[in-house]
Amino acid sequence: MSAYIARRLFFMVPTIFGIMLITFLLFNVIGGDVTDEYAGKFADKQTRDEIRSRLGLDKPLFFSRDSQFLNHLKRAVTFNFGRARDRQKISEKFLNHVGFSLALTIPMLLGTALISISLALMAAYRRNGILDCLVVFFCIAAMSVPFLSFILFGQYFLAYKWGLFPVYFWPDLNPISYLALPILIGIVAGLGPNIRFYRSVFLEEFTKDYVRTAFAKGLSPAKVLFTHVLKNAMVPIITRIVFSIPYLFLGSLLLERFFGIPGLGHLIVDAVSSRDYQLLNAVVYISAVLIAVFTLIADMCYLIVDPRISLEKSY
Amino acid sequence: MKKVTDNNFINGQQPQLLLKRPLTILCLAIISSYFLLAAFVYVAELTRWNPRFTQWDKKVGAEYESPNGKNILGTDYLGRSVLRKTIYGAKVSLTVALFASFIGIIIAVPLGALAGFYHGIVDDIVVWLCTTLTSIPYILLILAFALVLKDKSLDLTWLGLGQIPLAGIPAVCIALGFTGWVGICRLVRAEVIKQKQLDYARTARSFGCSNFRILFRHILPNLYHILIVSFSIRFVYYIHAEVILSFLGLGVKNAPSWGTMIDLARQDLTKGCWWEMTSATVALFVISLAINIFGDTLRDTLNPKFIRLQRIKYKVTYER
Amino acid sequence: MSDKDSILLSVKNLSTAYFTKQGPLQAVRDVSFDIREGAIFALVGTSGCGKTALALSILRLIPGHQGRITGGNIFFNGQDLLSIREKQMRKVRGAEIAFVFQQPAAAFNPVFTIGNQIAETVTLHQKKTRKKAFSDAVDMLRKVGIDEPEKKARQYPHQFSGGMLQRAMIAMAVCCRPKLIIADEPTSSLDVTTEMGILDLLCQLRKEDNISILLITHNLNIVANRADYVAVMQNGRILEQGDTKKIIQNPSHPYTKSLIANASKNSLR
Repeated sequence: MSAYIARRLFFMVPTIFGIMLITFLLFNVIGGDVTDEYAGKFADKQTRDEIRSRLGLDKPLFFSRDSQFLNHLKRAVTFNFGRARDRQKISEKFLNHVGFSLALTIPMLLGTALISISLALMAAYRRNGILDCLVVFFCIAAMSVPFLSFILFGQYFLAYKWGLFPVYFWPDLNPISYLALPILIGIVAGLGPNIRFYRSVFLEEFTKDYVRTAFAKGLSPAKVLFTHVLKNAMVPIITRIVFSIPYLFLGSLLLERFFGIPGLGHLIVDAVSSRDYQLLNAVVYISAVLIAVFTLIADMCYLIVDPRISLEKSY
Repeated sequence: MKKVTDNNFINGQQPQLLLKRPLTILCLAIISSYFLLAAFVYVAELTRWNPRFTQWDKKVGAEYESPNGKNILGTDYLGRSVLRKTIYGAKVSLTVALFASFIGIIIAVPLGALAGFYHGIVDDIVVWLCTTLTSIPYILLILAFALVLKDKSLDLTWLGLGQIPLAGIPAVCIALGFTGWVGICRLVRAEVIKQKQLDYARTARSFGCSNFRILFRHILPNLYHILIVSFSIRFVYYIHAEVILSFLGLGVKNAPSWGTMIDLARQDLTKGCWWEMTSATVALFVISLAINIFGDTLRDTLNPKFIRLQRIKYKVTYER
Repeated sequence: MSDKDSILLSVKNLSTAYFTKQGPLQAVRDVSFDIREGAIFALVGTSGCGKTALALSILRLIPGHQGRITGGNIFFNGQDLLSIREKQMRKVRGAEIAFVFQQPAAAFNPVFTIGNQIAETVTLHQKKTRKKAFSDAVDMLRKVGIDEPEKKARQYPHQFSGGMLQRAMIAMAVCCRPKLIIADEPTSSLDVTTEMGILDLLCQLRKEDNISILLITHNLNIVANRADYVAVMQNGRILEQGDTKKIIQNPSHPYTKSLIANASKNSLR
């Protein structure tokens, strides 16, 4: 088991190196010299040079002992991201804001998963039946509406006009009240693609023989669906859910922006508008590492669920 | 004992040709009309013809006029016609999605094909690239690209085209294209690997075809159905992505796109003016719906596993 | 088998159709036969003649989008199986009529243990605790001739061999003491020696527990040796049926004659 983990971690190294390379290329090479941004329009040359050397941007890009790239690598490996535009330590910023994002996205994930798996299972069972046609129609329609419209309409009608929920985040409010509407909108908007995916997984399972055996034993449809079929479909389901965990940390950029929830997504959007490359760099790097790690975790989950998969099989 | 009456079969239904289903024809009609509209606006701009309804920035009425006889969809906060903005927005959104898709395909297909065809180091590099790019959250990557390209410009003076500013539409296209190619690349690579095993590739080689010829003349044509299906899926995604980017301020600058219209709609709504936002949303919704349905039907027809079985109506009257 | 034995299952004018790309395909056309208590009734025919469709129709196992029973009656235990509600049908499946499928490797759920799956049938139809059900399952595995049943019951289908899996499937079928077992080509995917073992097992079950067996096969040799009655099927119709010895010695239909002629002469005695 540990040999397997070691092997997988070893293969992660080139990927992480690639991530560091790409973030560097993107933000330092293509992005270029941000000194002017920081210094403002009217700074004199001395200030600019000072800022530049403080940011480390006066060093050569790649080919020296002290190159920007090496510094970049060093900082990435030690998770030392420095400071953001507003001089606050980036790691502190993360920790302050992550909580809000998670409070938003975790219920969204749970709600979407539960509802879409059940609906998809029931829809796939009677393929082309009434429920199935309705569900598919709903999914295609929901996927054709841009997420922005969901948010706008939701916010306008449910919060503003009919006053069922608070329109905006306010620290004094009970968390449940200002999170409820965004979570609701997030779930409804997320149902579309999820149901379609799970439906195709289940349709595939229904063609297998063991389903017929289960019915021949006299099991009720509910039992067959939710015990036999579901367990077999676990591999793609787990993949999808585990893969979406790293995104939980990022929060929902749009939802947080619209409802003013001070999560990581909001932070990112602010960083974008204020051209805070340091912060963005850090965010991209961390989420990429998280994704790589959770891919590994997802693979290990398969082992628990499917007894046929053995560790000895080569990757 | 219930007596069973006899059954009637509705026999011999027509084969499931794509074009014979009215829904598909409708979708195709919708898609074509959008494209025709966009092309028309393009042509009008290029030839500087400027018929009335492409003049989106002309003030046609009072600010925030609700839909009336003169301005069918009302006016925005500057008095401009929402209808004209929507039409122009079609051109913008479709352009962005089209170019982004092209960029994606141009990058993905050669890379994927080469990776699948020549195993070994080429394959490793491409797979590494794909894994790395997919490790970075899509949204962040697009944001980063769009942000970084915002003020840059391409120096194409050597082509005689001068400096092309990358803000707005080109930046969005590049950002979307450079991040979206990975999915297509994976599909292409998997399909090429599969096709390579099949007999016709070996036959071609036994006749002395060079690798290159086999790849491009024989294998590539078999990829078209995958490309078409994924193109239709991604197209909708690119249209929506442009909306998000425009909303965040990274998108199209000087022209109205559906994204910028929805962005403006935030202020409109607080004043109770719903028409701009509804117009953009409905326009978006209709084209997305049409492409989604069409893409789905396309996929079902091209995929032998999901061929729909005929429904038959029986008139058996035993109780259940 | 004397005529005094009562009729367990009576199929009258059964018709079933499958939905296909080219339109409805009539897989079973107006089929009628009776199965007596404690008898082995063989259904013979080549692939595609509708044997499996017929078998599935008896238990109403054809999903709605694949096909439909279009006519006829199936009388079992005093009721017409085609007219009872689905809920009652579920009580029949597994408990009174059990099915043994052709490819046991595919028919078992790969993510549950064999013992678990057999126990599931027990808990479903009989009010027993899970522990008791599991020990019943172990007993069943022993009864069908699997060594070390306690250990085997905790293993997964992919750890069994083909023959053992088929035995396990039979164990699953008899665990609730059904009156009829429908065995759809139970030995087609097995080698000859294992085949003999499975058939012996079925005959033994018939003798011990008086279970009727509807044996579907394309192999006339098996029929000649084991079956009491036989029906010959082609293109969805039953061409002739009756006592095995009579049919084999005096086939009336040309198709039957060709079937017999193609079977090896050694087994027919």
